[in-house]
Amino acid sequence: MRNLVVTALISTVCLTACGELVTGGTAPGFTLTDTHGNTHSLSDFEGKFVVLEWINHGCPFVVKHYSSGNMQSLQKKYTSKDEVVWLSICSSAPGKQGHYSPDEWNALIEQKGASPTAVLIDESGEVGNLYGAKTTPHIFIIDPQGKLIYQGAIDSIRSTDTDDIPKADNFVAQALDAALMGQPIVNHTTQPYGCSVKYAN
Amino acid sequence: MKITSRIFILLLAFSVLVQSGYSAPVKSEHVEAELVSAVTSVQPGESFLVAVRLKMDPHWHTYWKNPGDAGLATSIDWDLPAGFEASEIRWPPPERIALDPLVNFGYEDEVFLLTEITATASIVNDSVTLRAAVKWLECKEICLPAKVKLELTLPVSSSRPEPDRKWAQKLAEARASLPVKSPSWSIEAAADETAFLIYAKTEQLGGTDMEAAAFFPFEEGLIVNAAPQEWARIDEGYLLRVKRSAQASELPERLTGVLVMDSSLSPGQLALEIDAPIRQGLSAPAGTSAQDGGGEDINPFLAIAFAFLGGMILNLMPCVFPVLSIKILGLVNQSGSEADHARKHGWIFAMGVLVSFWVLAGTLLLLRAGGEHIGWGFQLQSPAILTILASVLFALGLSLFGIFEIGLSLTSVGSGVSARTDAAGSFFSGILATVVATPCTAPFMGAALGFALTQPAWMSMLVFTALGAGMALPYVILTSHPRYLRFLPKPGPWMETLKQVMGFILMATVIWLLWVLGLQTGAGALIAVLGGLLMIAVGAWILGRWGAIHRMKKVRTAGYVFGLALILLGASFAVLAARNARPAAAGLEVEGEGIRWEKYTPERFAEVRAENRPVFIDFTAAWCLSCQVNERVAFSSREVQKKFEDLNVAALKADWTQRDETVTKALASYGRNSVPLYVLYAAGTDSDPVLLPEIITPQIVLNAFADL
Repeated sequence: MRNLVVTALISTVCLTACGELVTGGTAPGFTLTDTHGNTHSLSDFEGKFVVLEWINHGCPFVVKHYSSGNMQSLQKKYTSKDEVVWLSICSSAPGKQGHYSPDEWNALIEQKGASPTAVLIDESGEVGNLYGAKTTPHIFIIDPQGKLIYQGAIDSIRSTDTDDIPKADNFVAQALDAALMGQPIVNHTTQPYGCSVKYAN
Repeated sequence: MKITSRIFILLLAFSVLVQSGYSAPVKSEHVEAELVSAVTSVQPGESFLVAVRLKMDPHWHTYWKNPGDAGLATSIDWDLPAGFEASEIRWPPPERIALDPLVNFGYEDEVFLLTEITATASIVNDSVTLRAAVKWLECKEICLPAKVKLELTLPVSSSRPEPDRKWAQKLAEARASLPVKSPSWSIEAAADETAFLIYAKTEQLGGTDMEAAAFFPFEEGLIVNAAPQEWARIDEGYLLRVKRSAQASELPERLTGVLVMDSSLSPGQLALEIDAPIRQGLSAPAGTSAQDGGGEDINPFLAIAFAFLGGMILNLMPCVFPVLSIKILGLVNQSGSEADHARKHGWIFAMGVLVSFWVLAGTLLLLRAGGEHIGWGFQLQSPAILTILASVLFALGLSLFGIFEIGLSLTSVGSGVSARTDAAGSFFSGILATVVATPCTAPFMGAALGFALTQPAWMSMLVFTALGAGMALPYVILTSHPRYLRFLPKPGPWMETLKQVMGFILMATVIWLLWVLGLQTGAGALIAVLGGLLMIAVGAWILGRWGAIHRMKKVRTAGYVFGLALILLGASFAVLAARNARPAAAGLEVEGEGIRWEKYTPERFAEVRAENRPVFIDFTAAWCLSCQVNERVAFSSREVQKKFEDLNVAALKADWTQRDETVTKALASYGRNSVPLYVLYAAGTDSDPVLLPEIITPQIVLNAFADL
């Protein structure tokens, strides 16, 4: 019983602190401001697939996928379709790695040649916690009905080596391709890999 | 110049020969890596131990094979001479490294990633060079990947190798720390809906003092890494509760990983390698031994059977009795009508009981999920609910006295009541029976309910359903077999008498409820509630006097409106008064002369335990009738009082009349969530608790002391 109470307590704590979403459930709504000062709510994108990509350009795992051009080509490929929205979310707290001002962000987006629909600033970490974003990168895909259909790693090889990218199975591309064709996603929940998200302490 | 460099080379060669093989540490940004060996030479055909030593800068860490929430396991890619083989990495036990809100598994300071190298039997060269490409991720706040090439050259010798002076000791220590499958510990694993339970049992429990433990699963994503892990001592060992990840798609068949236990006794830390089949749907064992030596898990079928039986017994409990009387009247009422009719109402009543048990269980489960510290009987811990209940029973009592007649027609024998109202009446009395019955379930159902609440939701629901079904059964039987109904007395004038007698029983119940309320809210609020009840009485009187069927329609309507309005007003007034009352400062008055009861607090409990006295804890609540009876019967006995005095027993009273987190937690530590509970500890700081039965007599208490 004591354990039960403790578990119950923990689960309450985790509702706010260490969110754990279950794939297939409803993706929690949020509103964030992008690097141009526009606000975006998840509900704005009802009827579209939404990709959430947790990002921190100081993290070697993110560097792996941006220096190789892997992330940019995924963004380009899928946002060129009308039914996919790609949101990069930065939950780095002010003063921590990966936190930039909007201007710095816009310069970075330009410099990296990234083409997400928007880069959203979540410096309080609220949305990161809401989704239980653990690593950068950490990917979530939400279907047009608002259901979470994928969460986890970007691909199957956990490393910082760009050489591994061609050898790896890209879970995000697999999930999006399947979902766009109306097929079930085989690997719908994978273990994310990367640096820890630099949340405020 | 030339000479000095020659000397240098010679010195170098010399040092290589006498000290060890030749290797050089390589430094990344924050980690120094080196390939080290436990021995100074390689003997053909033999195995020897080497390690990649990672020395981290302060606060930097590298990762274990399962890195936890983020990070990356260190990898070693060996390039060995032909015929040599390297084992997998033997990982020393990791630490939990917290980076709020995440937790990673890894190493700070220094780690030796051990590897066993087996040399081929035929080595032609004088020396061999082991090469390893090592990749790791080093993190503090930020992370940096590192990739180094290490090598180690060792001379080859056919004689037994000497231990390396610099590293042999360190490597031996690292090897001693490796997770083991210890024959003196048996590990069992179980899983419920939310957690893995790891039981670490040992025969030599007395010689252990494991203060803390952590479980590190080999499989990633299996547990919620950041969730605190709950470590407790149980009968034959220890129990660790680890939160399962909701994202893990399927429960694995076996639980594999490392259990690291920290002891205050030498040698400090013990790491066990775990590979245990996972039993499903088992609750945590009670952390204590019950008096009958039990404390084992309750079989689910047994729990359901007990719940069913308990439900039937509920009909005989004092707090159901008033409602039972209403039910008897209902039965008598229906025995006057047709058999089909009676049967139908039996089932509707049963549905009422079941639905309210489901609602209750659902609420409890919801609250449980919300982490509310509550327990069975909690509805009587809320002043508002108590007042509503008291008001309803009070009004019912007035109705039984004949002050007014209510649409439920409990009293209108033979008068043409529509089937619809009747159905609602049966359903409602089913609900009423359940609501009033709940505090009485404690003595019978403590274990089963505790069991149910530690179970997955569906299991809890089953147990509650069985309880409700048991309670409704006699009624269903009587109504579907009308020939038994024949044994019930025929309606007649005696019913009016019976009805009024029942009214008094209801009033007595109201007094009991108000007494409980008074203990919670104090006299001021109690008087206000009584004022509310008076308003209800006036309303009921108006309703009965001017709303009666023989009045003219206008008068009747006015009577109805005023009467009902006053009743509602009175009830709301009472509820508001009860809700806004400041809780009474003190809880239960400490009773029982001769026994000096003290308020239970964990601190006081620890103190008296430390004083080497026997300890008796009385978990009680004002609303728990059995508790009151037990206390009066058992603790008023001179003999018992003398025993308490002679043995200098520390008597602690844990009052659960109001929701009290401390008491809820204390109850929970004995695997219970209901009162009464009596716990006895023999003198001495390591004695186990003895749980007394829920109904106690002086003899039972005395026997328990005698058995100590």
